[in-house]
Amino acid sequence: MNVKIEKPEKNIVKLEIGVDAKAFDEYMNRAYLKNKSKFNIPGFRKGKAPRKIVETYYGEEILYEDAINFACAEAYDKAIDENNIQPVDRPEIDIVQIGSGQDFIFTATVTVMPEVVLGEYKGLSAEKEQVVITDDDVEEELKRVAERNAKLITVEDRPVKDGDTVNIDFEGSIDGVPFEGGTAKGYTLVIGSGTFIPGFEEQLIGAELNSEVDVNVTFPEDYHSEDLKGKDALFKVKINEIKYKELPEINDDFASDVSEFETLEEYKADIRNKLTERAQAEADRKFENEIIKKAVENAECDIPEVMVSRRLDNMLNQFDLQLRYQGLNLAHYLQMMGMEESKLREDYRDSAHEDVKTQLVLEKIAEVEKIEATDEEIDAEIKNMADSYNQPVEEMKKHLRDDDIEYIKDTIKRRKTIKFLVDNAKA
Amino acid sequence: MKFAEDIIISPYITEKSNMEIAEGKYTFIVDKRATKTQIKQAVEKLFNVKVLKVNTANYEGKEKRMGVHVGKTASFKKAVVQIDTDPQPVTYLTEGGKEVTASKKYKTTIDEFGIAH
Repeated sequence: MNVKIEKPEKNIVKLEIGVDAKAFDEYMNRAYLKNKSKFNIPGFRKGKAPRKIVETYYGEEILYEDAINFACAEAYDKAIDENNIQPVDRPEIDIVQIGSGQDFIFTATVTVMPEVVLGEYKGLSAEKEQVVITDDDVEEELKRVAERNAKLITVEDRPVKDGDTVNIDFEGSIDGVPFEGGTAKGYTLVIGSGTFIPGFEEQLIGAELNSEVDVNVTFPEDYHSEDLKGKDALFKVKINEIKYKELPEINDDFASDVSEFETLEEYKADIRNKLTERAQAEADRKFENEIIKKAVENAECDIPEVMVSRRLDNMLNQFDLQLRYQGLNLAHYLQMMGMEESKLREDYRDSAHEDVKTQLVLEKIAEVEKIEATDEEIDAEIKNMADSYNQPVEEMKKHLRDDDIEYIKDTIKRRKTIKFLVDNAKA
Repeated sequence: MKFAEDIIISPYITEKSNMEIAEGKYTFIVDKRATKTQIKQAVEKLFNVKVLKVNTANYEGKEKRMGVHVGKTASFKKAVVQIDTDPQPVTYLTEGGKEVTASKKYKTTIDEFGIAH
């Protein structure tokens, strides 16, 4: 086997691979063995006709297709291996010469992993947000918890007030004609929540229990329904029930109710800790992203089109999967949004490009800095996974294929690389 | 039926005949009227080999029908020709006790058969 390598374009490698006649004959033989049961030649039972007979009967071209497949796959893999080429796409194969007794020559044109030229990546600096949790933040959080623990109390002795939750029947009509979606019974509405069109909730304030109120509203100009926008409508509303939210008093009792702490002070301290932690993590993540972004910006790399479009495919697939959880699919979604897939791809293009570049740069940094995942780290990761699936580690290991291990390795490597960048960065 | 070309009609290629080539047995379809001697001479002339033995068999054509019409496929004669795969020079005595060696160049295979091994 001899290989000639050319680089017609950046990131594209053209290999001319020659397989000598004898080796190609081997592949022809394999092609014959694979297909022999399909040849039907008079005088022979199926699968019993020797290769020579088959070749004289049908012509040897009949074996070419499979022989080429075998030969190309093997010779190409070997050529890639020997010359240390990292393809990112399937090769395009052209046959140059074929025939019995002749060397088999083909060219494979393939897009390869782009060369990444790293810029500065050590000692990068980024703004690190200072995490400050004020007393107000803690109070806010407390209020939110209180809101969540509020009780609804039914009232009978007073009219509707702002903030109340009412249960209503309503019947809406425009110029005396009821319209679709304008009628409901037993609807629960929080006054002041802004769920209904402006003016509706306000006009209910002051209404007595079991009374009927006429509500006059005008649908806003930007209302989503063509038929209704800008129209005046009359709603006949009956108040079935009035409830108000009773917020628990914020004190020691409340603290012991909603948390494992006895006193309000302790609970507040805990909230403060948690908020700090959350904000800290958020700030760290921002810092990390900032650093990665800078490292990526400093690096130079021509990313081949296939890598970006493959990344896009991945993204769209994932998006599709997410939609499927909601009982939709991508085609449906696009139809609803009135969008073309090509438009969506165009929108995601830049971020796909960024993604690919980030990955390449991180890989390159890992390579340069000799960052590797150690066996212990892999084991630890597997143990983590096993724990989250509630399975014994041994059991977990049995299910992992080589691909999975490779994936775990990559994840660890990526994490370590990011950590390396952050450690070497200036805040 | 004067010529060798008229006697030997075609090779007869089947799994069995194909396997027997390894032993130097070549199978042909021959003229129905040909005798073993004629076949031997014809094969020797056409393919330049030494024939040791000829076995023949007559095959009756089969009755075939297309609806009400009864037809018949052609009958044929099959000849299995054993050729000498290792021809030795022939030595014989002539008048006066002179020993003469006649060595005619024989081929050891019939390549025209299409499927020589």
